[in-house]
Amino acid sequence: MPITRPLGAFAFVVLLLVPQSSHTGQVPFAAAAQTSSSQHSDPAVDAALHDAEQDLRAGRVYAALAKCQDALKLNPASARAYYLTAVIKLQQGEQDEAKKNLLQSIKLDPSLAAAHLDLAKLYFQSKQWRDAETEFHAAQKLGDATGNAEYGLGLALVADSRTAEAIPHFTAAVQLIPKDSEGFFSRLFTLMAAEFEVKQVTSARRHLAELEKLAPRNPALYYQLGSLFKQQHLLDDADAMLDRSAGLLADGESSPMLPHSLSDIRLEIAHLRFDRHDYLGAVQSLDKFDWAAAEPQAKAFAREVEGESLLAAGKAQQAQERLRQAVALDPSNPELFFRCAWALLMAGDLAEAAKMASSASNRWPQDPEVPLLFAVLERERMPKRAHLPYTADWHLKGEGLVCCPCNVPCPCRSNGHPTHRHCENTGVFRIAQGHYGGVPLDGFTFASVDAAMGEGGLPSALYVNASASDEQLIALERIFQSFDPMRPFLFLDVKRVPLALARPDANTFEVHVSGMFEIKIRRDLDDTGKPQLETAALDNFSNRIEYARNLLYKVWDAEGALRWDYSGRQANFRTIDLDARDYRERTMLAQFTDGAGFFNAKQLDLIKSQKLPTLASYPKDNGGPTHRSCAGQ
Amino acid sequence: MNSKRRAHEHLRSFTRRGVFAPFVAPFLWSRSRFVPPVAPQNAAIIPTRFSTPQALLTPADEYFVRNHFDVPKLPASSALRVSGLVHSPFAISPADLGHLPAHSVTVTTECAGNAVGGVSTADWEGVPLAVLLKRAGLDSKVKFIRLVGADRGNLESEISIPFARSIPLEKALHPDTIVAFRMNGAAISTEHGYPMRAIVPGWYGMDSVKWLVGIEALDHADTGYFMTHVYIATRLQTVVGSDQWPVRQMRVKSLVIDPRDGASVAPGLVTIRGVAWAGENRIAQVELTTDGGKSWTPVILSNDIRPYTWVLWSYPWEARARGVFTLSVRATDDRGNVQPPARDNLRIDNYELNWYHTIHCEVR
Repeated sequence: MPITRPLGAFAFVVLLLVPQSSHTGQVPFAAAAQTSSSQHSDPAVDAALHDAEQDLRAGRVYAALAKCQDALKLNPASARAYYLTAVIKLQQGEQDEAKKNLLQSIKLDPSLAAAHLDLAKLYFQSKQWRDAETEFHAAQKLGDATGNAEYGLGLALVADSRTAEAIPHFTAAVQLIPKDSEGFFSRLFTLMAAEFEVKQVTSARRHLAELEKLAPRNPALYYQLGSLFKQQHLLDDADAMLDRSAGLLADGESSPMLPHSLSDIRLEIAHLRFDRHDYLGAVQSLDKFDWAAAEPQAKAFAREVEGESLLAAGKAQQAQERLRQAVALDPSNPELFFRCAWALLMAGDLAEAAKMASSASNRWPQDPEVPLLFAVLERERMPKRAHLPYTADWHLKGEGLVCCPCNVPCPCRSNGHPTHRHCENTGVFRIAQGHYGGVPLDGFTFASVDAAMGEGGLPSALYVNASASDEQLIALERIFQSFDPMRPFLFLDVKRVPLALARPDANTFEVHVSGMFEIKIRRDLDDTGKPQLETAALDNFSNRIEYARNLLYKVWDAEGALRWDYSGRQANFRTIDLDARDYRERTMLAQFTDGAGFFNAKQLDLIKSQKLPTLASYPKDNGGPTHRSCAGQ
Repeated sequence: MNSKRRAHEHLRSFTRRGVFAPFVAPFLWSRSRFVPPVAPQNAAIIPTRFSTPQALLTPADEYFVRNHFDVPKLPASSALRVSGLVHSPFAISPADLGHLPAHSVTVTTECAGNAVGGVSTADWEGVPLAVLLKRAGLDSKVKFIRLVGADRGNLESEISIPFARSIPLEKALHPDTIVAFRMNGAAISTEHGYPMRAIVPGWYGMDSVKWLVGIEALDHADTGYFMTHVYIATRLQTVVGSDQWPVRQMRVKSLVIDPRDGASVAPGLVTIRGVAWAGENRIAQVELTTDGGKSWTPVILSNDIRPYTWVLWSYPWEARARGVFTLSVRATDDRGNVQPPARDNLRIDNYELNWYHTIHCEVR
């Protein structure tokens, strides 16, 4: 039987499915395991089994087993004796033996609901979902009034990736148990989790409210809810629930069901926020981290999350301080050294960055990060680069066009995946006015050709005019670096070519680089001169693009192994008015890219606050949610 | 601590995001470009054991192992298909291959990302690739020959791809480039490419494709993942950009095998042993220093000096003083190429690691 999926958010309730008799020492079988009508009653056998039950209740396991054996000698066809033997074997941890006895018991008397139930639980434990389903179903049909069979059946279906089928069984399991009993809470939680999974959100939220009413100050509940929402990618909810769990713990509440400390949860929240690009929120969560009580490795990780968050937020100086602390806390982690060296470099402290890199290289000379770090540091020592800091102010004003093979609109512009799962794109940009620090970029034109978004992709290339100065190229690389400060950015393949963005008429743009690529697009404007199809978009140079006519798009740069013809596919145009502040203040939609399939909450906030245009509908994402619209946001 | 570790891994995976970011992606640095992608179980070289430092051939069970995906288990009847721009494509079984005129070659093979242990030498018996290509009838436009392994898996996408490398036609037609079916006189073992593998002498190991199931004739440079995303040497230029070249021919290199790094030896005469190789070239000289590079002394080269095969060398070192000594070795080939003293700090890849090999040993 293949294991189709882990139980994920349901996992914590699985504990309840351990055959009860194996871990509680109780004997829950007595009533259900009475001799059924299909078995002949034998007073001597009944007496032996009655004594065996008494022994078992009193903890005299071996005596109970001996009496079962006596009973089987008297009647080798006693299903009840086999069942009782199975219960004893479960208590002794001999699951294979228990299973054999359960199977024998069921063979002799298929009407023993308790035997089916315990066998189902054993199958469940060994991840034989379909066998478990069969046995739970048998127990249910035989009239399991406790709802355990319904509940187990639901869990087996979930484990077999049939969550929608499980919901009626969970519902029945909830209805069959008193609201004040111990199991009610778990069953309701499981029902709610299943409903969220199959997107029955209204019902799930109703059950969530019921759970909150039952345990309003239980930090374990909120932690579990946070985990559930994380798994369901309901990240706002996840953040809120984890935060509530942490708040309750901070108020002195506790729960034996919660194995995590307050600091663990704060760290988890920080990590969640980091993952959502809410870098300052991540740092804020760690303000409440219990630095005194946490273990060194946890502290190191917390400092790392802080440092990385600060670096991502463009605060390199503070980032390097945190990452230095992380290194001191966990000097066994090479990644921390590399991250710290990079933050030091971004903060402009080349000498300290080199020291940190040397420490890492001495400890881990074979680490694949070492050559890249050393090469970047080596190059930054060169005079032409050394006088251009990473943190200079910059501004770009101009226009740019991009062609690619995607559909119109392009799903990757709204936080999805490329239409065809690959994206051989070419962009051409003309900077009318611009500078990076003291380096003027007026009249600077550049183009990029790349296929990196596809299945592995091909090498990319940057094309610049032969007249571009070294300083301008370094400046452009620095600007691209500020798009994502967290890791080194390098133009690896730079080609100086005759490059001009020609404009045969007011709305047509044309680029032809001999032997390399050829592009022609026309802006698609209405009678009043407004773009026909303009939208908020993920783009490094502007938060809005307009779709244009792709008249010609061919690349045949054999040297760079780039070759395609996507004429007639997608083209877009943007006006550029971009500033270093736009990235520092995190106002660019592209800074929140997570491939979720559609604009995420942060992006929608930016779209609203910047009054960006939206389309009536956006394309379905290949790897994400179905067709959605953000019109009216 | 598990949850923290998981979270940590999550953080790492996040920092490597970017695949879906329009127009960020074209330029995003990705470590995967600079190191060979590997299945987790193949994340490191299983190094050569060197149990007998004076042996020319490495026994199969001591030969280094480095794979890109899980090891495929091919049946003895597994066919090799010759196709592409050829007039008569065909498939051939290992048994039928064995009936063709055989050719043997002794080859030292080094992993392109090897620092110390990923190098071994074996006798390989097989059929020249040129014989198979001739039988298929090459189109006049053919420039490259693609060698396809049966090992495959997922890398950066959901699509499973095979491990495959392409070599220029000239190298493919060289009589010493063979499709091998025997290693050191026995059938090739599973981990070394059973039943058939390519042997491309003098070139780094990834071109000697194991578990060979396909030979394809191409009229253009192969743009497959293993030709464009990995095994590319990249050296940053000092201002911006980089120089890139495909990693192919093995560079001149030498190693100290005995004593091992960190070993202790007794005062007196200590025989230092090692190996040196130069890919398609011949070793011209191997030198040793025991004084941190102040003076270099030529060592004794023991076996025939020929292309493809490492040279065993030895040096009688009179270890008189006690203390910790630093020994370095360097080789020069017959074309004047000499090992560099240290890593080129502008290289961002992890290939062609042929700087001096240095060990420390204590005389006590």
